Amino acid sequence: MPRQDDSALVGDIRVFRRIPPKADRVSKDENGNLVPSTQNFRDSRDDELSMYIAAETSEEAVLRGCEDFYLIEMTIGQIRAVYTKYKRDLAICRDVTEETGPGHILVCGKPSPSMKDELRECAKWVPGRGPMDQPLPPQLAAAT
Amino acid sequence: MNELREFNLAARGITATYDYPDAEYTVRFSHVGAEIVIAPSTTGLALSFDASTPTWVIEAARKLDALGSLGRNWDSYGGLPISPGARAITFDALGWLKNQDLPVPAVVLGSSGTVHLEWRSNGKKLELGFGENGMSEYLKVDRHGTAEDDEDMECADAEAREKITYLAEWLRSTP
Repeated sequence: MPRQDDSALVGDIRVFRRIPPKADRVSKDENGNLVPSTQNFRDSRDDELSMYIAAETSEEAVLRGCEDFYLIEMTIGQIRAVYTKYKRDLAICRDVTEETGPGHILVCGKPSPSMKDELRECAKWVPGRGPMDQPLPPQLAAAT
Repeated sequence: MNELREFNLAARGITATYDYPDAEYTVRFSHVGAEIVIAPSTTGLALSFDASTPTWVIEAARKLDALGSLGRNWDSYGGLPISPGARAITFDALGWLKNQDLPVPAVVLGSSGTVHLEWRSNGKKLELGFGENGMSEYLKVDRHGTAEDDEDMECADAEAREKITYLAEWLRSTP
């Protein structure tokens, strides 16, 4: 059954997403800045991207069991703007279960490669939760 | 001089390990000189290097090999292990590009087991995606921020080689 868009999930609502510290999901750009890969913006679950509403959870809760992961944040308004620009179907809906915990949402809609790049541009490292705030994995530390 | 020196060329058949713990490399001599063969453990594929192989290709192959150690849910979102088909065509792509002067790409595992080579150079971005049935997508962004992409491709063999070579030459080109 297709997901139903929740029209209350709009605008400046901040959302978190975990970024794994492996498989080159983070790399250095030409200026040496650590940036997430575009592949962080597409899940294998039929294009339902898992995120958390920041105000309804905590950084610790989102990272529980993945304490070596990083966190990015962006707004739901930014996500909607990208999908609108590329005229792609989008449904953002709540998906709170015992397993996911509070604040969990799904961003449902297939992003094109260009859209993933724009989503990546919108994302910012959560202060204190980015790769520059932790010891880097060896392959990232060695990257030029 | 590339990493051939690290393999102690005076020895035969010695297995060396690198900082990617699951990557093992066997050194052996061929009639044209020392040959390094990376023999990934999951598919048995091998990519042969020689003294002229650019360092970036060796480094990318190491990264690709390391992806094979990641199991299901490696990304905490149900991410799949590397697809054998994606791995094979990525190895092919490295072979096709090994005569080009490129920076070391990010070698990224997608959540569906796809592999993505990502470069930033000369103010441009190039991303190539590989899935079970061949090249699956690409993204190129020029220095003005203008993007071009394609998705849901199933581009293999000669067609993939031509496309990949063209895109790599675009990345290396000056404006």
